[in-house]
Amino acid sequence: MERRPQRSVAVDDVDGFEAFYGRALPGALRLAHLLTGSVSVGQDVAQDAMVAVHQRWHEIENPAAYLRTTVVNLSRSVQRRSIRERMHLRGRPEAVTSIPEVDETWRELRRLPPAQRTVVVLRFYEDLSLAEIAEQLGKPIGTVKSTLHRALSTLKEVLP
Amino acid sequence: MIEPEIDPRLEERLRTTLQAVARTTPRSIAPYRRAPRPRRGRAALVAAAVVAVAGVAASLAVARHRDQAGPGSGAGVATSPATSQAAVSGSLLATPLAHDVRPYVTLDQPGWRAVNLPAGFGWSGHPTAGCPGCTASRLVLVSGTDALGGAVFTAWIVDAVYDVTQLDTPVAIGAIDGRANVRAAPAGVAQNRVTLAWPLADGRTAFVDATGMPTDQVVEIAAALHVDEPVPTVDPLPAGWRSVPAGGAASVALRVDAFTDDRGRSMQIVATNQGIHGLLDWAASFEHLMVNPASTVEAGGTTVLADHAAWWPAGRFGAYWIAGDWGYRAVGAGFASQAEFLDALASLQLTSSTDPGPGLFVTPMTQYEGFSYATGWVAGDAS
Repeated sequence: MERRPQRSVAVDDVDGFEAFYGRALPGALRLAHLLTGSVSVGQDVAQDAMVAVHQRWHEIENPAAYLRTTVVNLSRSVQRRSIRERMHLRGRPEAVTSIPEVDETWRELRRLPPAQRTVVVLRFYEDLSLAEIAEQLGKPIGTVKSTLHRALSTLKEVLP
Repeated sequence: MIEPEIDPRLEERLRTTLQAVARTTPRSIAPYRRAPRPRRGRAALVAAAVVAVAGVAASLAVARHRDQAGPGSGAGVATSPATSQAAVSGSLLATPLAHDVRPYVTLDQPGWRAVNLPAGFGWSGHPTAGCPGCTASRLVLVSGTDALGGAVFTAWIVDAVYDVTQLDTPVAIGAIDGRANVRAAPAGVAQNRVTLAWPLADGRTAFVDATGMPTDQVVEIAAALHVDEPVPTVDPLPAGWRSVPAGGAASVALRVDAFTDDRGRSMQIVATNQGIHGLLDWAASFEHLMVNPASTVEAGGTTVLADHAAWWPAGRFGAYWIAGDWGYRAVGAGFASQAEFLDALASLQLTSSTDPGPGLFVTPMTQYEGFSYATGWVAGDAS
């Protein structure tokens, strides 16, 4: 067979995916950061979510929604990972901004159980309604409501 | 559905916080950058002096694979890590290359093709600085003939104070109060993983990560460590153990971009010319080596540390292996089983030649640092 060196043939419609990747990655990184409490773990999650979108690029109607769902699901999965990560999450300097009240609130948010933090982030960062959160997480709306209630009660207690 | 009554002040505070923290998120994924190794002190030089005695995983792998390269592995299979003067090709799993020879992955299986993907896109994650152990220079002790085949003990020091109480159990590291976390294996010691951390007097923190060892032995070796220098040392070495020195060569980390086949299977490979040290650097950021449930298996004539994390999607499998000076990490997706993944891995060939024969798919490994776009190219016909 005659050798025919050439530039690699891109995956189907890679331009479309590439444009989506460039557009959606920052948002995925932010959401994953907030959900996992860690920039680096969030990067891993966002990448994995992008891989999932890429693999189903031609099947999914709403890549952005699919990406968000995948980020949320993967973030929930990774929250039970290794001690190294737990140390990573808790051992790093807490100050992420120059605003003490923000840093303090963020520290307490990170200390919430993952399920509670997820609901808080989806409610107050993604601005989803309880019904939308329930759909996103595949949980009854009553469960979401009580989870949010517990999270807010805890935060009200610990935040001055 | 009536939303729970929310204190408007608390709601405002949460919204403000989440927005502010989100703004600190990097907009892209940082490429791998390895910190320079700290200058070695006297004790570390002593450890380095055992190189000739201890040998590296590379040389052992070479010896073990010397007679294992079959006729299909191509001409020029080296009996020692191939240097830049000797072009070689052979099994990716079992062909040793020296640190200054860059491997090119070749596929001779029909149906596979290289994939162009945007920068930073991948399965393997990107090591990042900031966690205890990322980019650290570490002491690596191994007990097996293959660096990944037996117990592994690693120790490193972070120049920062960490809250070691995050680990579960108090433990005495010599005269110092430390903490331990033990993830006992369901069956014997093989998967037993022990993490230790203890504060040092000068504001630094010592860490140990070990696998395949009884907890008592991990603590015993930890207590014998010399921790005055940036890299811990132990002298004398525990009986039956050898130190795997860090390579002296400039660190190179390469990645081969995703390639995929007609069945939807895909694979990505990362390679480092720093052997197990490079793999540990790679792994230290969050996961993988010695963290995911892993087992050593024979694949393609070499010992592979195969892993699969519980949180991974179905069909994803990973593997580490060392050949010559190089350490490799592969992650595959879309595979029906670990065996199928390892079979596909074993079918990969490498070459150090940039002029491969016909019918091969060649994906030049792209240097990680400065990597901007996959540059896969096809040297044959997919059909």
